[in-house]
Amino acid sequence: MSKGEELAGILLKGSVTDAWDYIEKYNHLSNLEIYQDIITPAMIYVGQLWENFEITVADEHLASGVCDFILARLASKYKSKSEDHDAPKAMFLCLEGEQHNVGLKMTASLFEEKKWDVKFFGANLPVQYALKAAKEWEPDVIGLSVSIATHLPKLKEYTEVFTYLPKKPTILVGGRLTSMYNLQTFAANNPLIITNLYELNEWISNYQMEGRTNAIN
Amino acid sequence: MQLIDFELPLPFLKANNTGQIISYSYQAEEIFDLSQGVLLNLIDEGSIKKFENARAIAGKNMCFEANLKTKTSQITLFDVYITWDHEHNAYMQFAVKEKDNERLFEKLQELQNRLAATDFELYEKKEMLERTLLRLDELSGPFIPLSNSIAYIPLFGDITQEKISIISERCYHAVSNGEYSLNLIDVTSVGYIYDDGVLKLKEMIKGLRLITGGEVKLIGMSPKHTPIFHKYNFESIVETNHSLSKVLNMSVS
Repeated sequence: MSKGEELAGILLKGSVTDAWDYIEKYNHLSNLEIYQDIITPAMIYVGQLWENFEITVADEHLASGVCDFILARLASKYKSKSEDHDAPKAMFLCLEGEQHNVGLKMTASLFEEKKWDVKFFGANLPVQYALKAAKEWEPDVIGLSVSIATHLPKLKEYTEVFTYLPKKPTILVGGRLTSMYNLQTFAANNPLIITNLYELNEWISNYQMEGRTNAIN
Repeated sequence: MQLIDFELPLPFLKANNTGQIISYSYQAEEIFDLSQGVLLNLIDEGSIKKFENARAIAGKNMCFEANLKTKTSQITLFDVYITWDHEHNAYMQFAVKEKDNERLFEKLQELQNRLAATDFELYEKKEMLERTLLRLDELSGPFIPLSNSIAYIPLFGDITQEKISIISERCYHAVSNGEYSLNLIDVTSVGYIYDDGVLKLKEMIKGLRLITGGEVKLIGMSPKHTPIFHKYNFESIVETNHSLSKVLNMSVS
């Protein structure tokens, strides 16, 4: 049984203590490794169990609730309010109607680890609120998550409105659909599609080392 | 595609093996957009595989969850009840499930909001404190073999149920690895005794007697402890009127 399958079994039992004890066994790994190699496969496996008639949506929600706890605790290991007023800023949100925000949380956490100033808006943020927040806060990066195909048409709307922002933030798009569709065709202005967290982590490091322009290239 | 004209408790569709809708009920027409006449058009992308899986095991009556597109919503969770005939036509009825789960999701959302406000530094300190308290309980009743046949268990601090549970577990394990005919539980250094603690202690004494087949004596009892031990009738299961030196002298002589 893979680590993802083991963790999925524990998440579905609903015990935050057992789930945390399991994660603690891998405390020699970085959060990045735990996110990509243990938690992501676990949540994918939970989805597969639903597809195979083995669990219900209520079970899935229970698993993601327990997973939320693990993520919050893992993130808190490195979380500290950035003292640097010039720290780059990143905001994260799910498109309207989207409830799946586990991936987005892991993404936001990686930015926080690298001392970015982060705002996490979570699930289901309508485009007008997202735009208002971005206008006021002026982030360098906006991360969007989309997991349900019926929400794809909205991706164009979101990616388009952000291009009118004076600061021209880099738009990142992630979520379950990145491996299933060519999301560039559903988005405006060529956003960066994130298919895995190692890739993202490297992108953040490049951004910080070489500056915004090189990171995009 | 044919409208069937009888009352059913839930929306109904009949589709053939290729997913063409053959017949439907009034209720189905009210909820779903059936203009294309194709089942696939009603299914959310994330649920298509479930229908394919269901078709693969056609012949088996089943109920499963699936997200479907309705006239008013792009995605709604339904329970799909499905049966098959010999030509692999599927007979389906659909029960909306969103409402059933609503309360659960609200509760979960509340918990997630609380989680967002959790100070994990404090949480971890609390956990550390709990571990320390557990360790203290473990250390409050060491198991000391005085000889091959005499075990000595001095208890320290207040007697609580949690503490005696931890101590008794360790003592049962220790006595089962030896042959102790005399087990001395010393309460000289005990402070306050809680009712649930004394009941657990009674259980522990019975347990030790059963495992060792030997004698258990409660020693070092002070006048302040007498009422509670008397209240729980300890005299009936254990000797209580001795000090450590007296018991040791007796066992030597």
